[in-house]
Amino acid sequence: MNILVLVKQVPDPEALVEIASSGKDLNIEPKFAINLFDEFALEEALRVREKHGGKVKAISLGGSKAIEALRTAIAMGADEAMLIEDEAFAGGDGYNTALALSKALEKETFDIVLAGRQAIDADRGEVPQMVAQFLGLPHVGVVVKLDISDGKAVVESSLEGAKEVVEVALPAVFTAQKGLNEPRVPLITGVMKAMKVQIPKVAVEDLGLTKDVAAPENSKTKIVRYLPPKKRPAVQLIPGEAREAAAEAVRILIDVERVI
Amino acid sequence: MDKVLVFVETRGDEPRKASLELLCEAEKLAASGKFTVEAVCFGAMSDTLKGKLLASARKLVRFTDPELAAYSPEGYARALAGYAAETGARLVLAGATGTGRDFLPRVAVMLGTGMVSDVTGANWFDEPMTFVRPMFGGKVFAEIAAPASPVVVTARPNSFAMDMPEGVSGEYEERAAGALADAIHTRVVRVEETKGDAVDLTEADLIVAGGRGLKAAENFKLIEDLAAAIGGTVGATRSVVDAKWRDQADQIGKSGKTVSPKLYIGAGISGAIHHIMGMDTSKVVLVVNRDPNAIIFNYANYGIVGDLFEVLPAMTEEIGKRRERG
Amino acid sequence: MDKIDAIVVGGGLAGLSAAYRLADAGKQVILLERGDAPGSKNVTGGRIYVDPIRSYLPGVIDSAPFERHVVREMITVLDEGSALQFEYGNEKWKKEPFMSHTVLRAKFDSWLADQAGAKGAFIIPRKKVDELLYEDGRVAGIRSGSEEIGAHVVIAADGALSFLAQKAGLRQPHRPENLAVAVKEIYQLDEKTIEARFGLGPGEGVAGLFMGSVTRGMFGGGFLYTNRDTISVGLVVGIDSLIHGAGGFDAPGLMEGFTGRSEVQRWIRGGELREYSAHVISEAGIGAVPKLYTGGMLVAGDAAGFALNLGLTVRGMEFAIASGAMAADTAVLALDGNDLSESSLSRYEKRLRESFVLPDMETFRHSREILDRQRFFTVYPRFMCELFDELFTVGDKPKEGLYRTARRVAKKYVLNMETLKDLLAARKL
Repeated sequence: MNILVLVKQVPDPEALVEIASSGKDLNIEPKFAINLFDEFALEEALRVREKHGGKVKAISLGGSKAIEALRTAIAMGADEAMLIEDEAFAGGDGYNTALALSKALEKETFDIVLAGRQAIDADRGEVPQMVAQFLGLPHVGVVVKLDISDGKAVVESSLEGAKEVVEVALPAVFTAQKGLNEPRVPLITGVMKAMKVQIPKVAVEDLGLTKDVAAPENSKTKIVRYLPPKKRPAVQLIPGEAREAAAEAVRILIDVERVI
Repeated sequence: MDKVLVFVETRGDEPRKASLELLCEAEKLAASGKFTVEAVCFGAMSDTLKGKLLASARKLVRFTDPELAAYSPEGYARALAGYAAETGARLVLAGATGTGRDFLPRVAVMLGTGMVSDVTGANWFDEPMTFVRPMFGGKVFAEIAAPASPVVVTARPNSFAMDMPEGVSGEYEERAAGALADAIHTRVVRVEETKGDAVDLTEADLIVAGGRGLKAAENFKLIEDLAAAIGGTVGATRSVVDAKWRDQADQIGKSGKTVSPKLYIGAGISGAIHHIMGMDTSKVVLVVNRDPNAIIFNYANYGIVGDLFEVLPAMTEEIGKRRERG
Repeated sequence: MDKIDAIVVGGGLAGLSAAYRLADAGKQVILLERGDAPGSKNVTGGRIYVDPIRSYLPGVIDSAPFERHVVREMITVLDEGSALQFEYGNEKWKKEPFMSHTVLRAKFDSWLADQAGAKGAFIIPRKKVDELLYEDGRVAGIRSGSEEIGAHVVIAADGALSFLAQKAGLRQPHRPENLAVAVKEIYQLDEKTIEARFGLGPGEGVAGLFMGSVTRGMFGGGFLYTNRDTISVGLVVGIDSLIHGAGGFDAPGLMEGFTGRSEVQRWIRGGELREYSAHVISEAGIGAVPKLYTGGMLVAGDAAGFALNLGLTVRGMEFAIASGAMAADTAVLALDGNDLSESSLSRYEKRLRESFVLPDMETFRHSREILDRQRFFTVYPRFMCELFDELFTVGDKPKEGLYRTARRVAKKYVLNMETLKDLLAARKL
């Protein structure tokens, strides 16, 4: 059972994210982590391998910094890793990201592709399904349980809250949701191995794509500018004694805000 | 005129809210004269549902293929993308529901175009069209331009107004996509509905939360009473949970649940950052605290500086009175 | 058992500087950190003096991510509803080389971790060390979960509650009076706003101390440091005070009371709360320093009790960096000489004696017992505030002479035997 896992290096969930004064860039505190949902995907891949044998290979797309996410994958127990190195993909659109990944996947032999449900930076949740479509493979999204037997998978998906049990023949693409498993903390020896391993890098040209495939002018969608979230207006204090203030608060909630 | 396709999701006799919101927005596009709009839906359709949809779209197209009776990403994507290609659609819209977000990316690839997921705003008349969507869990928003055509978009529920004008009466058409059986490789074995009892904090519309200011576990009765009066759910801070006054399931905050109700009422809560991170996306925030310097006032729309032991029962009573008066 | 050269336990400043020095000397070293990242478990308010540590991190310390250089000290004595504030500034502090800088530990520690990583150290977070491994009566590695990792030397830099020093029999469990709780909040404000509010030039910073009723008469004090675009404020309160104090064990409550005071609000108002943390720190002084070495193991930083409570500040960062570096240097020599025996590692203590670490600890040997006298945090602040209150209050009654006022207020608070005892005790400071 050969399993490919798509992983993305993202800013740490607690990193500060601010809009640059130009409005066209983000200043992100340089703390990085492997995307939360990709950790579930990796863990599941390792569990499938432990049960059915085979190999787990982690593939990432991004700048040279993304190698750290792949090291985490190796530390957790992935057998191999590969980085498609191209800084431009940091701001690339879902379509070209999926295109590049699918070109890389075409060169691999695999039974299962696992990826996180979405990346916690761009929050798009598009790429794995697009990769599946580029490769002409089925996919099951938002997976909370994965059982493999006889060349097929029986999967629980919680797409709309309710649980759906879906059967699909392999090869197929699955996107991992929280609840699928509890990702392992890498062993110390795993980390030491991961730090030493040479992770191969390929360029987009090696995949038969043009060098500037991820450039904004070649993207189907592009970010024009960033906007801050709407700020709550300054607090309005409701004056008066307790009973009076309480009555006024209830009036506001019912008549003005109409929330109760 | 540019063609707009709106994929309509249904549940039983009801169109889903996210779909209806998009139909309302699409009606405005149709009214502008620049676009023609068609609602597209799959699977079985009762007369009731049909009636509702025909009052919400100038044209309704239903695909009758039996393979579309149950959801499959490949089948749905094939049918929708096929129709979009056939009609030369300029815009393909769907609600950013679990289903919409699951199969629209496949539609985009089939059409050789990009997509914009989970948008909260749109400038349909810009050239190219631009959209606004949240990133980083809502910490920032991005304005996205979509120069490729067609544009595939999923829109976040509650982003567009439900204001369908009276008198819309659409035409109805049935079609078949054909040859779907070979395209579908997933099979739904069964669907387990999740239990629908008490509203979970994360989905609750109304929340009343209490903190250390309540002084003792038994005083949470005041919170429970107010929650009951408004039909809301009880929440708590970490220190209250640590003190075992409330169950872990009630905890709002970084190590607990992230909530975004229509109304959050917080009493006796100072506003530790961990708690704020869990409730700052609430629409209306009312806080009651004796300390005018309590940090939580910085994150509130309305504040009462006062003793919660007087204010909460008074609010509960007042709501009762308003109810009596109707 | 296969052995690597060294395992450092704890990713604070002591552990990181030890890992840095070991890796720099070409040794194979892993650092295990319990938290999600190095520095994730600390709350130091954040001021570091450069001179004492320069020689331990040569070359790199100047590229450290400092926030602001301190040009002014600000002391605020608080009573209920009133406060006395004074400042000391020195023009020469505005010129390079700067004496001290404010730092944000999350940033500083992750920088130091990167430096150590670049030298080849393996920095591994989310690893709790459960046991020490022994071989021939010497420490020979650690067990973490299911893994046993052998090492020629283990450096315990696992913080004030050091479980390893205890495991190795180097010290008794801590007594509550030797520990304090530090609580810190970080507020974000615009860089320019901070400079305008404190009257600072670009890059300049303030270090502030608070004492008196902020801590409800408990042993401890408050601190404030200006960072580039944030302000760190916090409290240090003795654990025994917290346990026995009137308010019960309510560190968040104390913190709320503290940041709510107008004397604190004036600095942090409008700031957005970015971070909250609480942590146990050691403040026992030299009396609580454990045995610092045993065969195959050295103890550094807070784990070794290297923190000085000077009444108004708890100094620990320089001690951590210096002791971590000296532990590493001792280990390097021992590894080179292939002798990790207790006697070989005893050179660590000799190094510490020749540095500032142990002499400073010795000098302030009695500071804790003196400062433990409650009156320093209750009676004297109240005396100062009331004295000024009387001096500045003008009412409809005739005002008495300055001397009479001073004498009357002094008599009420400080002209008594207790003060004499405090004074006698204070001679040891």
